[in-house]
Amino acid sequence: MSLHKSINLPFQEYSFSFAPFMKVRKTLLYSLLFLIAALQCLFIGGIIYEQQQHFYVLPFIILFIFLFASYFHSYIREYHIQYDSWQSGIWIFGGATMVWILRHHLYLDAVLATAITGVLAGLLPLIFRDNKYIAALPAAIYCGAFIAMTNIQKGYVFVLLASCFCFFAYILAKTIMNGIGGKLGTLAFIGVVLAYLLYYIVEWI
Amino acid sequence: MDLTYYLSLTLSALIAAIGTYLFHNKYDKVSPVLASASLTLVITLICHNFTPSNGVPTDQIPYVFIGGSFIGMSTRKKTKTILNISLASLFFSLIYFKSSQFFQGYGGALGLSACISVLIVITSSKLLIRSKHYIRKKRIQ
Repeated sequence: MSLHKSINLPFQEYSFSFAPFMKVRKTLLYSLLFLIAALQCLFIGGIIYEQQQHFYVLPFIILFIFLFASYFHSYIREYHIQYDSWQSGIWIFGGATMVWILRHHLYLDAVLATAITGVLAGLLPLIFRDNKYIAALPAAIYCGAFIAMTNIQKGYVFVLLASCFCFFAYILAKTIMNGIGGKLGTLAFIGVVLAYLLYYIVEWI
Repeated sequence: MDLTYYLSLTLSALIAAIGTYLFHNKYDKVSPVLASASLTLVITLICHNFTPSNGVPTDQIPYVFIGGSFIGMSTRKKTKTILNISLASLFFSLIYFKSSQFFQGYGGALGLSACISVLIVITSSKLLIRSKHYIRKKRIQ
């Protein structure tokens, strides 16, 4: 098994010549794609289900069809297996913690807390110019900030748990949906849904 | 919910999407995160000074604005034109008005709605271009 690691970059690229590892990584990537697609369909499907008695359900059915078509158009292609580095992904916890503190200790509004966190994160690359590591931080911090926007009253442990799930999704999603707005929010949503699912399972047990 | 309510929120999403899109695409030093967060901060601070009145929901405008700004975080390479951004913001508003009660309060739901809107617009514009090419090809044959 040979391993090549690129150093001092915001992401790490591994090229394994050992086939099973590549298979696992590909499986993880496609599992994440499937999870994103499932949650998006569930989201629109929920609207259709709740509005089924009303005539304005029709636009949502059309939106659902186009969303489904987008998966065949965007998802069915060869993906370059590339993960983001954990050193930048770890800042998801930082973003989530900061917004949680601003909301629960300074009693700021969710959007205001997120915006403040986003502005501070966005200013980092302007202050520390030409630093590739710092340049990757705003996205991770902003992604973490969305997790703490949740109004589910489960405490900081819930936010940490959601951040954990979001962290793994963020690292895996390096080559997915690049340049598409809402990607960070989608990853945060995945974290929150999985955390809530885990809470539900534990409570049920 | 009267027309002013729907119009003000739709307009907020539209302005947020276009503003963020132009802000980070025009100025290279401004990242999409900074563009989205800074505009949202300004609007949120303004809205906090006004109570909802005359049908304008100043308490909800920040949420719609930040959601619209996520659409504007898309790159020019993917969305191509401002028209696509505008359409995506309209779809986002539609999803926001009728979003499911099941996912109420979930963090990232606004981002998910924005992502859905952008995906739909990108796919529909590409399908439109392909169908135009197909029709043109058929006419030539």
